[in-house]
Amino acid sequence: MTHITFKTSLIAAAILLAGCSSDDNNSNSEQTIQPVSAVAIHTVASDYTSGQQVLILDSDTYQITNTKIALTDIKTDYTIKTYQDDLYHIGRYTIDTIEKFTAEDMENSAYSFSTQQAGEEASGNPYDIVFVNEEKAFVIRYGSDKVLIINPSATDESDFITGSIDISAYNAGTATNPTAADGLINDGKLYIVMQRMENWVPQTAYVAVFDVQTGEEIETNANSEDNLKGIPLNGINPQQDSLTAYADNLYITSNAAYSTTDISTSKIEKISLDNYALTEVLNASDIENNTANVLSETIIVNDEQGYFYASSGWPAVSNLYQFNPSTGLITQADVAATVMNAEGIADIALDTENRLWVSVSSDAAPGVDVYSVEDNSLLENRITTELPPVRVEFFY
Amino acid sequence: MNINQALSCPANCLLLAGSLLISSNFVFADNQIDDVIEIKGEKTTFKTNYTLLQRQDFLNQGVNLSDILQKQAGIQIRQVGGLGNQVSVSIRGSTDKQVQFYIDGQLINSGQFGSFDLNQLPLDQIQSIEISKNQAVGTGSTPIGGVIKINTFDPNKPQTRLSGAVGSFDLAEFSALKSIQLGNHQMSINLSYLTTANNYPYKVPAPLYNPQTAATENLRNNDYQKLNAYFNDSFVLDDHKIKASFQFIEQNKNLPSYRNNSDKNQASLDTYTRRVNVSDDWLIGFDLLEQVSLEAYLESKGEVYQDKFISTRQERHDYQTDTQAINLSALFNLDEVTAVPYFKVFYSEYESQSFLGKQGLGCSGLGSCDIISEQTQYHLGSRFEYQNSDWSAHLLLNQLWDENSNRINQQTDYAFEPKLNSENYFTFDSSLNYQIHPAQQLSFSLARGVRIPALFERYGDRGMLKGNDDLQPEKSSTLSFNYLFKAQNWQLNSSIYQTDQENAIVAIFNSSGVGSYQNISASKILGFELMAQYALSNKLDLDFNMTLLDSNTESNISSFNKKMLPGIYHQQYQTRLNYQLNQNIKLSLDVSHDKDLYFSRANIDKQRAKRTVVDLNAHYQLRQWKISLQALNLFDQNYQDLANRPAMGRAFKLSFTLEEINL
Repeated sequence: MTHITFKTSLIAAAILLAGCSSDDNNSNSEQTIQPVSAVAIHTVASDYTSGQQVLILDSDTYQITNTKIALTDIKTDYTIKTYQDDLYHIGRYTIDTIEKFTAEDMENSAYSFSTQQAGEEASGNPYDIVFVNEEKAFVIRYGSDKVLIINPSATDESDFITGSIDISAYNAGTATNPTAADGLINDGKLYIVMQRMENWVPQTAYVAVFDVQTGEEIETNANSEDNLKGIPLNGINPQQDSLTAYADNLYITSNAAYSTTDISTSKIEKISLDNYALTEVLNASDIENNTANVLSETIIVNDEQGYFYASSGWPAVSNLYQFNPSTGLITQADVAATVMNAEGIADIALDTENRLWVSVSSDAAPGVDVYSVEDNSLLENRITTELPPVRVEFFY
Repeated sequence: MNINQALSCPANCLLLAGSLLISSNFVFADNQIDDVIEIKGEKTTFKTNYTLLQRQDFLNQGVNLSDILQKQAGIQIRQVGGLGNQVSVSIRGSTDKQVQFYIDGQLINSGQFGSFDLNQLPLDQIQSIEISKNQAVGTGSTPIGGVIKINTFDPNKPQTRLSGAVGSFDLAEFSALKSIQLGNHQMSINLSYLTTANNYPYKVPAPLYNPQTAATENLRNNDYQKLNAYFNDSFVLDDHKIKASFQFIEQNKNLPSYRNNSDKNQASLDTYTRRVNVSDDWLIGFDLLEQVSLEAYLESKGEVYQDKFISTRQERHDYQTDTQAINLSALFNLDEVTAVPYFKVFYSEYESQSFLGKQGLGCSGLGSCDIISEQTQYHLGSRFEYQNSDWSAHLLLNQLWDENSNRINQQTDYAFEPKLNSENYFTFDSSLNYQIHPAQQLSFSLARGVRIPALFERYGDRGMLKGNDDLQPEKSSTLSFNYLFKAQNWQLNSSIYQTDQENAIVAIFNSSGVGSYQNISASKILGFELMAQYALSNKLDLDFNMTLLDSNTESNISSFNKKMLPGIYHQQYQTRLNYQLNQNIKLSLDVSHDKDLYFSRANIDKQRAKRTVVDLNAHYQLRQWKISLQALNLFDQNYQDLANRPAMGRAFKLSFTLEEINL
């Protein structure tokens, strides 16, 4: 009874807060917040040559109900995305496919379509699908200067790719694409964050804003000194899952250049969705005694509560922090005890029931820990997975 | 340093000059195999875990060395995408890098990457092939997998050989070999050329102009050409038996784009190898000292990789590897015991230069860096052999000192830390053989092998693959028993063995996607090999090989713990039926069935891979002329290659040979 009451109150709180899955970056008001019906956990072999698979989990009992979904036994460069009760299996570099699994038949794909357009020689390298609705979504491609517009409900290959958005204006120097890393829809606008790599060196990162309906880029007037319409960031090298929106702000987490000694360029910044003003929330050097950890992925629960994790070293040891998004103050360190256990975090995700799902890449016991954001208490200790988990997504 | 520079180096000149003064070439298999029996044209030794294939047994049996080796029990060959592409060799469940590949006395395995190019020499340039499982051939460190040793062509009679072939997928090859006697010099020269389009049908996942519809197309830009030149001079000077040879190999391999089969793709890898070998056997015959041998090797290998998979990208990468090796040994004969103490020095320098690196770009912690790496190895050891009428035994002890370094070879702001490392390793192998009866032999062997980390594994590329200063060598302990029985019409050779391996080196990626080579697991391999040969009649004989492997891993990484080893078939069955139709025509049918292969180290495969391949060969001989027709993969079976892509299907080859040997 207590459990039910607790869950009900969590759901109510979630709806009231208009929260949303952190990984389901469609933080737009068009979506109805629903309780989680199931959880998809993407797991990948740590040698990156021994395959990957998706597990389906009962979100109430935390029991794995289905294994070996979308299994591959060699290729590993995949990621997943859910939309409502469908699972999308995204093949990235040189795979370039999107495979759809429906709730009716999780073991056999409804389709597998290429994300390459005719004549495209280089791998587009799809990173993310950002959904507008069941029949329209954008595919953010790391290796292309075109964002695809697709119909996720297409049944025929010719209906799958319906258009594209040109983002080549953001190509850095001699680069042939702006290395777009993440996308998010909020209030009818598509936000795309780009690393802007040139010869494997990240240049000034940008967030570009597009009208979801027309695909036209919106002039943000963020910088009068460049000839770009987007918003230049101070943080360097934002990666997948670097965008999250809460209330009137878009939060961007940047990772800093690889092997940098200046960790202060790894930042959490926020952009006002009203006027596109950029503000720094915190950077990695704000973390007490931190000399090497760089930031990855941020989750905002409310105005005063958020989470991010920071990692460094080999094997990576991660630290999950709770912080105040309004002030940038860190309020608790090692929330998931991964520092104490010398474990790495590959992903964090918040569901609509205010549970924080932490994907832990431990050698001995890889799996997912589930925390309550009410008091950071552990709701489920280590849902063990055969392969290390790298991403958690929710079905609604 | 190129080979011309290397040859002009004073130290090398001294060594080369020295090689003319003292001598000996301990090719144990060639010179010291006492028990060689002949079975239907093949020569197999009674030595434990050892096979010797003579030239007449493999010429006309295949296009290249891998065709010959894959018919041997316990050896697995897995290839990618047709001739000229990567070939992986496994001996008794080993990895490719755990196998040592020698050409004459020179170790060919790359110090930088640990791998080797198996098919660089055409069969015409090979005198014999030695295969050793779980132990060394002659001297040197004991490998984990085994040794494949090529002894280059060195005839003792004048001869002329012309051969050529045409086949499927625009295969054409031609070879001309001439060996003459001038005074006391036996000189040989060979030129050979091979070309193929390798354009076999392949199901393209996302064709360039219609990526939504997978389609079967002929594979584009998979062409391969290989030009080989070989010169050899063997002569006797007083007490010295001297052999000097030179090889030049040019390989041009285009690289296909398997995912879209692009017609704009022009990616290629060109390899230029020059190798000079000089060996001197000095037959001293002084008291206990019978021989002194000196071998010297110089090799220069240049590789040019053109990254033109995308028509707008024109990136060139150059790799240069220069290797020098000197082997010095002596043979002491103490009645029933021979002792061969030896000292070997091996030096290799690897240098990479990329399109970006030349501009001071690329090396960023994300992109890889251009580097220079060096490796110097010193081997000190001795081989002891004992033989009497019923018993024979051997013991090989080897101490290896390895020094290596890695430094930057480009301008960069990246904080590149040079590395220097020094380690030493001890290995041994031993065997004991008992001749129970003239027709029966029992053998036992024990070996402790090592595979030292390749420099790439130790230092990474400083991009997303970081180095590991704590990387330990792979080690193995192998215990094997062999039993051989020979009757009038049949022979049976069986082995049972167990190999315990530790410190398997595998690239592991952390939660941030950064990789590093780690020692991840131990493993146990239990194997059984059976080789049977049965002469059903004067015209019909049957060979049957069976290999059964069981493997089990032990790892701190839970997903790799208690698994079967990936990348090897755990069951192999091979049958060859030879039928001598008449004096001129011989037919042979090869059937191989391999099963239980995991691609995934975590064994998550939906099903274990298997393959059944049937090859048919017909040979016609009329005096000096031989004509052969081969049908490979006769029933066009689909199976997955090394990279889990569909392998080449059915192929035909028609070859001719004109051979004249002056007796």
